[in-house]
Amino acid sequence: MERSSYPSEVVNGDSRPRSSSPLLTVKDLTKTFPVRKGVLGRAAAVIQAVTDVSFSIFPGQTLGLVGESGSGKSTTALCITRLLEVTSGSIVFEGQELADLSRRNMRPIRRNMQIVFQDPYSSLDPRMTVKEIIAEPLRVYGAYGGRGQGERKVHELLEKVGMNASDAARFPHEFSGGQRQRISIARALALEPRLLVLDEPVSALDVSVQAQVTNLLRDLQDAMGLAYLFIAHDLAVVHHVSDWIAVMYLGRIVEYGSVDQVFSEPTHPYTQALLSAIPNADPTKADDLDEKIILSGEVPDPADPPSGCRFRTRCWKAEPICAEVSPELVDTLGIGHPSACHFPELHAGGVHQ
Amino acid sequence: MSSERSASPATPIHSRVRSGSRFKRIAWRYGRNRPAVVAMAFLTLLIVVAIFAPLVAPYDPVGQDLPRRLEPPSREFLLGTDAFGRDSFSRVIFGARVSLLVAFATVALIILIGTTVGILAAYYRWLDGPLMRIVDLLMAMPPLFLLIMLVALFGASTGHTVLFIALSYWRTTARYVRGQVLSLKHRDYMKAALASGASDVRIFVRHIIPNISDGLIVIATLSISFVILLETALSYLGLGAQPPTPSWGGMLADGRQYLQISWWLTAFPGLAIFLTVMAFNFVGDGLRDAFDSRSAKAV
Amino acid sequence: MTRFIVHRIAQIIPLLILLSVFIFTMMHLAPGSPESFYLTDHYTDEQAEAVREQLGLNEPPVRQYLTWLGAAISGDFGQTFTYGATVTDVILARLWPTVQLQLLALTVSVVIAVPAGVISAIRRNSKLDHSITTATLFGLSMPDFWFALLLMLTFSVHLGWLPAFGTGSDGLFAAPANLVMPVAVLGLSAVPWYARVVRSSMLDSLSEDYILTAAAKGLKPSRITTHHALRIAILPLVTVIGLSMARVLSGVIVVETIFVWPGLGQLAWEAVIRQDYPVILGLTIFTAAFVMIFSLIVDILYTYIDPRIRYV
Repeated sequence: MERSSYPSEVVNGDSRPRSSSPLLTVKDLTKTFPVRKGVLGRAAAVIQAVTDVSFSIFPGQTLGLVGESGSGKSTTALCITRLLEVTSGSIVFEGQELADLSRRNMRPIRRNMQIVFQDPYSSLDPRMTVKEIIAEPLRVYGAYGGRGQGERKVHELLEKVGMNASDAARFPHEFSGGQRQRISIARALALEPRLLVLDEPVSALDVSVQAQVTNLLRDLQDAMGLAYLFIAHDLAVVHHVSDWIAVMYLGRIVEYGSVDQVFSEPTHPYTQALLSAIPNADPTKADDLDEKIILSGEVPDPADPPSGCRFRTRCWKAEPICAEVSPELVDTLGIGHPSACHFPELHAGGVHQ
Repeated sequence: MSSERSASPATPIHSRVRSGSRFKRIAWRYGRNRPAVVAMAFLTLLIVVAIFAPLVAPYDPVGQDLPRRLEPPSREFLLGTDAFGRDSFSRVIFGARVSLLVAFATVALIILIGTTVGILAAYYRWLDGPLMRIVDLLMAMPPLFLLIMLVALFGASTGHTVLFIALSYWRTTARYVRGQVLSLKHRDYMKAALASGASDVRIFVRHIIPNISDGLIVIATLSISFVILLETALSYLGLGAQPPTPSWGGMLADGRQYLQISWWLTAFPGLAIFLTVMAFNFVGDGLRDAFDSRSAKAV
Repeated sequence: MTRFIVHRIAQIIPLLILLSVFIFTMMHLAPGSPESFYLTDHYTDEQAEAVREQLGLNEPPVRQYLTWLGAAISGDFGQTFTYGATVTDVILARLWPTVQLQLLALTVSVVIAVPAGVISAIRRNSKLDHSITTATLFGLSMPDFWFALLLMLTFSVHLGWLPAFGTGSDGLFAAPANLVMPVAVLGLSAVPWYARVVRSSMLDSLSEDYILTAAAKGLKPSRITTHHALRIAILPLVTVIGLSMARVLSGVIVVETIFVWPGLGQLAWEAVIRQDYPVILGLTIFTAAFVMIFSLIVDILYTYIDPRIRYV
């Protein structure tokens, strides 16, 4: 097999049907934040929150974006939805470049691209009724229609996410976290978007509720043909909803492939460590202790990332070259998906299938 | 950067399940505060009396009756008469008109300027610097000095009183609003509104103002008491409502000359100011306790 | 730290210039004319012109301002219109009576407000706390000029104990009897503000972890209060006192006018009424500089009271 450069050719070995062109293509997305220090407020340093991130999302499919706190995955989400200014790179959505669009020109795009946030307690305006919350995007785009028509739309949306039409008159504080997240999803669906950016939509929820919301998202995807950018901080959450997986560490993508490739043939040590952390649900396999990879140390300060490979400070395979050369995201092993490591290897350890 | 903590519920469980309208809950909590209820009743009465002053007052507030000057309180003249033989009680009633009118108008202006400046400064970073420099500039000047100077330079009138008190005192409200909006800005529902394509004006009107309105109501109520104190001080110094219009501060200034012989000319107008200001303070505190929102607690 | 101080001082100067521009503009926009103060009811245009010429009011406003600014930078704030002395001399002559009054008043307010606030916080929701809170609200609602008049009515008019006007002395210090009422009015009027701040910051401080730790270690409650909680709780009070220095002149305008106290407040009042432009400008710059330097001192004091705060 030849080396595949990514993202366009990363699809080797994928058996899923897919339409010809991607809905969203992100290329070399970079986002830096200035850090102000001192009384004069000079920009003394910059934090590289996201560095050269590239991926594609196809219509009706899901890309799972996984990483620890501070990996830049939420920043990526905010850049794609243009809630943050992009430092450099390109974001092509439905054939249109978004990276440098003005806020005014971004407005028509937002119809087709919506976002759901992590914290169900801060994502709904406490002073609005559920009806007003869900109706807001409709009103902004003049799609609310007359009163009867608008209310009917809101009721349909509520039922679509598994709530009652009678909930429309209530306020957010009357609902649980899971219900609030459903309301957020209803708001995001109001304009019938093609892409939903889900920024850790279930991380704040109880485990039992997580599964319900995840299942709801899958059902909605099947019914409406939605594409998802599904962000999570562990691989277990995205396993069952994703078609593609990108693993981020300190602002960079370190491994990228189809869900099968990443789960069965992880080649980056970080991916392997994340996979080994998933509790083994299969009783036929022994959960050997020595298969677990426990990462030592903390995630380094993004304002002062390690030279070369950013993962090297916590990697058990680190060699002198890792401190000097930043590894490219390429398919060195020729197994069909790329990873950014100088010493990639197929590692069975900690991989559950 | 992104918030990736496992989110903790912002509200305790018991408050998540409560129901009933917000207004009813607030009214119920307010109702348990005795002094606040009494103060509210007093103010309602005062406002009604001020509006219907010509019907309530027993005498013409500017009608002179020199033979009966400086009479002590009696059944005929409840609060006595002044140096021109005018009935103090009627003058106190009419004086309420000036004080309340000036107070309401000024506070409306203060809230308007303060909220606008505060929202703009917090929302548009490039405006923050210049706007806050103006606030600093005003902060550096003793407000009463500024006020007296402006009134003295441009002439004393009710309109000038309103305008210049507002100009000298909007800064506190602006600072409060700015602080509130800065913290609101990072709530996800603001980002969600942006992601929904909402315009800035829509975000101000539909998301920001409703979320700070509790605090603004408390500030407005407390500011009324503050403005009444200022207005009466100005009138006392001769820079407020001009004679013969009866005003509480003006009555005190007139009474000062007769401090040695007519104590009632000093006691009663002052008492009117004191009670009114205190009532507004009680109502303001009562409202702050009755509201359960962060914006009200932050006042 | 040194850089912080230098930077802050560098900020003060442009602010002062901006302020003087603002005041100057206001004075020239105003309809009144200061020369009328010098003229009898019947004056000729020539007389008015002569007075304007003498006061330097015939120059174009921008020239007038620049002349003033040039002199002010070298420390010369010009001649007063109505006092027959330089602005600097007049202000300096009025400074001491006000400082005297303010220092005593500040002492009175702190001596009353700090214990009241602390007791209120420690015995939260007790009868005592409620009484103090209610008294605070009463105090906030009291018009200071009325309070002054009531004191005069009682102690000067009826009891004849205290003199109602002036400092009662030609020497450096005002007569104690003359100080009592002005100090009482000024000092007591600040008590409610300070007591509220002390109470709420004390409540915050008492609920912090290290206070709970100290309690868990078995330290005596009184020691916790004085050594640990109060130390932190006093910070906001320092700010409020610092900020209320900005109100210093505001407070004394009313009190000094009522008690005929020859201080800055009375001067401000007179200057405004007489439209003595140089004095108004001079006082503005003087008090503003005072306020800004004071807030700088407050910031520096912070680092000594709370070592967690550092200015880089």
